[in-house]
Amino acid sequence: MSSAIEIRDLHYRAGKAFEIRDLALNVPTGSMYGFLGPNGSGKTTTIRLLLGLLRPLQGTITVLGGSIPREAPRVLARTGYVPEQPHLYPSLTVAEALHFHAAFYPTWDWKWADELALQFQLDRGRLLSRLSKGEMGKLEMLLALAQRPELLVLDEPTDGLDPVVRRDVLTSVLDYVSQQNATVFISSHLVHELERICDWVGVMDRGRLVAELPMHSFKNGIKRLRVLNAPALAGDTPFVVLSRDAANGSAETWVVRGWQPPMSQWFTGVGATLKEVIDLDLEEGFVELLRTFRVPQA
Amino acid sequence: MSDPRRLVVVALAAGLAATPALRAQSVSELRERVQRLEQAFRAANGVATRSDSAARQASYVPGMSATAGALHVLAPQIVVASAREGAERAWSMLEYTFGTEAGVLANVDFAAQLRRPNLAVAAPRGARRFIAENSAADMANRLVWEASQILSARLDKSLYNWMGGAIVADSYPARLLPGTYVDLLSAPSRTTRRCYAGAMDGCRDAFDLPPSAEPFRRWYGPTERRLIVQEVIVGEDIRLVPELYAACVTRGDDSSCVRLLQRTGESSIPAPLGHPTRIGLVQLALELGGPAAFHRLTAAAGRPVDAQLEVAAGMPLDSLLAVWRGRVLAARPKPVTLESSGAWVALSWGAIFGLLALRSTRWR
Amino acid sequence: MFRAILYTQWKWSRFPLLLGVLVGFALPILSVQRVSGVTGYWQTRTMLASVQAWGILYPIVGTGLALLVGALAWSADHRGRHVYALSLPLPRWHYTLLRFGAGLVLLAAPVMAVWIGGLLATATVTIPTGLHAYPTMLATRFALAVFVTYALFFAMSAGTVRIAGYVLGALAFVLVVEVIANAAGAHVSLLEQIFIGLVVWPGPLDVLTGRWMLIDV
Repeated sequence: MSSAIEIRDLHYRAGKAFEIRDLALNVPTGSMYGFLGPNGSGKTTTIRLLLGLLRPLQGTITVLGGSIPREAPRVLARTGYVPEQPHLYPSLTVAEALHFHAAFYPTWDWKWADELALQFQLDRGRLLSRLSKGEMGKLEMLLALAQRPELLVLDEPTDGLDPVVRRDVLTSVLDYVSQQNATVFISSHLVHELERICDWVGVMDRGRLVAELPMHSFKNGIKRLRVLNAPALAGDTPFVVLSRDAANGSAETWVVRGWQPPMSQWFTGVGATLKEVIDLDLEEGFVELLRTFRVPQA
Repeated sequence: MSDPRRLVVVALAAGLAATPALRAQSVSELRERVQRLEQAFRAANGVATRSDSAARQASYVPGMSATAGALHVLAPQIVVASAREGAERAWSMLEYTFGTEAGVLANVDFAAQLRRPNLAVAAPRGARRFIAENSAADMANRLVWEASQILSARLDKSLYNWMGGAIVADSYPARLLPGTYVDLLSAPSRTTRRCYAGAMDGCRDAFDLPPSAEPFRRWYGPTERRLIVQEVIVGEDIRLVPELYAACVTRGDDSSCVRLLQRTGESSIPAPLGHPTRIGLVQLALELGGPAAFHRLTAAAGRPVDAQLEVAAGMPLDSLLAVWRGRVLAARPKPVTLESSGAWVALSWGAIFGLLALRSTRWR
Repeated sequence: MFRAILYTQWKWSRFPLLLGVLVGFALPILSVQRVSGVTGYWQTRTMLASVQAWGILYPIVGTGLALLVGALAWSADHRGRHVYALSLPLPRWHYTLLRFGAGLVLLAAPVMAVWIGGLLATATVTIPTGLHAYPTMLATRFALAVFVTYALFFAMSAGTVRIAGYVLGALAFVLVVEVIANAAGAHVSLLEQIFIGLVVWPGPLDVLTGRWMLIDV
């Protein structure tokens, strides 16, 4: 399986407070990769590094087969980017912004741009400084899509947008992906949103990649278990114990990752009783994962 | 451009760029002004030097002697090397300008007093004291100035007054010629116009040779006199002569204008060719007349000014004026608008700044 | 690409440029207007004085235009922290060169205005004997002055806040050294030397100094 984005041993520091260390990330070609993490975890910084907007201290970054930052112009020609904050020139009108952007991308599709403008109901004569947040979000997405990129890098594209606009934006992305074999790298702290559209997930926290796995494994693999007479030491388990909580008297609550149903026999083997297996949604699993990462197990 | 530091730097640069333009002035105006200021400064400096020397609580030290030609300078030991070199340079200029007459300086003792540190030499009574810095160039300038005053004092009074000041030896007197060219061309007088066109009587009139009682009548016609009155009688002065002024300026009565100009001091009426130019003519006469020219000039005291010039130059006045005019025309200044060296420098700097922009660290 | 950048820069700088064109065209004409009523021997001096007095405005107008166009070239990018420019698919130096070139193209308009104004002014006035008209040379000098100052302000505006800080810091250091040295009795004039180095040939601002004469000897 080839990779659209491949990062190895990335090290970056900004000031004294924030650091990205030993980051390794792999985005398969054609996938929709959800990049999760709380605010300030380093998602935007990682995105800027992989686009060549920032320079790492160490490590290798390969995007669409091109080395970043050396081949950044060539890579950026095939990459559609929607930044976290609007980055267009506010004194231009919508039409002028389209023409300006189109001038830099030979693959620009005017026909589709016009269709998207109609679909998004954007007034071409309006100054960008007078667009609402939602309209600006749609325009940014239009510019990224109309250049027909092989890779879409979306940094919190729906942040602050109302549900209707969020839906329009994500629908346009899905439509595009369904037409082209494009790779989408989308970052967000809105876990439930990514749950519906992504097939890969990477979790970032405090400059480190906490987990990277297929979405279904992430969703299905994290469970909350109610265990009676649990052993004092877990020992060699077929699953990863993220946390144990003995708050309910003899019953303990375990959060585990990588769970599969046949593993219940392990409890029998150690003299414990598995009372209940509770599914966690992506958001609960995300919270548990972070909690575990931040508090090392004794 | 939103950051204040960047704004301050850009504002400083803009101010820097605008300052040279604001300081530009007419070359000839500047030169005349410089000349007047220099003369005034030197006169004042000479007086101040002598009074300061008497009043100053200077330390008196034994002097060492530095001699060059007829120049004999006493200077403190620490500056005797500068004094020697300065005397050599000064003598070279003095001999070139004043010729054999410069030899009279052998009867004068010059005594150098240092400004920093404050040191004076013990010198014979009657020595000509001057204050200088410890550099050969400054020593030479001071010596030239002092010696020139001494030598020029030997000239006929009427010639001295006509010149408006002393002849000061100059290593490069021709530097004034481009300004004189502009004066010849632009002075609002029929005399300079005719001189420019080659009529020697125009040149004589422009120089006021021989000197006349009311040279403004030679220089300016009725129209120009009216404009000159408006130029020299301004402000409070108009209230002293309101009727005459109105008659001259408003009604164009030339006799009124003449009366007003008669009341005005001669030095206030602008001459088409000013005193520095007249001194330059005398210097040319000395140059053409050879080493004995200045001696002949001093010997011709009492004769009309134009005759003195002829004696010094060893040729008729018209011939002297013709040579002078030829040199002035040959010194026509290059147009100041653009020089090729300046163009290449500007292009180079533009390219350098452009490259610096490409190399901005933001883009690494 | 160049057309797109040229358009944006035109949009940001159009008001100062239009004003610059108007002023550039008017300056030569106004500089000889005063002379039109003067005849006789007064004309030469009046013409030279008038042309010289108005001539001071050429480097000021040129510097002002260059400052505005150079700064406006980058103001939008500064506001957006250069994210848009850095995310475009072209090398950094290429983008900067396009911006630089766009500014130069736009500044050609006021230069042409000065040239045309100069030609018109010298064609419509009687030039006294001995004087000559230099409209093309004046316009060329104006072009060079605008080029140098535009390049300077463009480079300064393209620089980071850190660079601006270094420049100010260096100036402050020189000033402090001069003040301390003079207080100690040493006659030091570093700032004056720096100024002279900038404005005297072959300094970068030499092209702005001296007299700007549409008509001269």
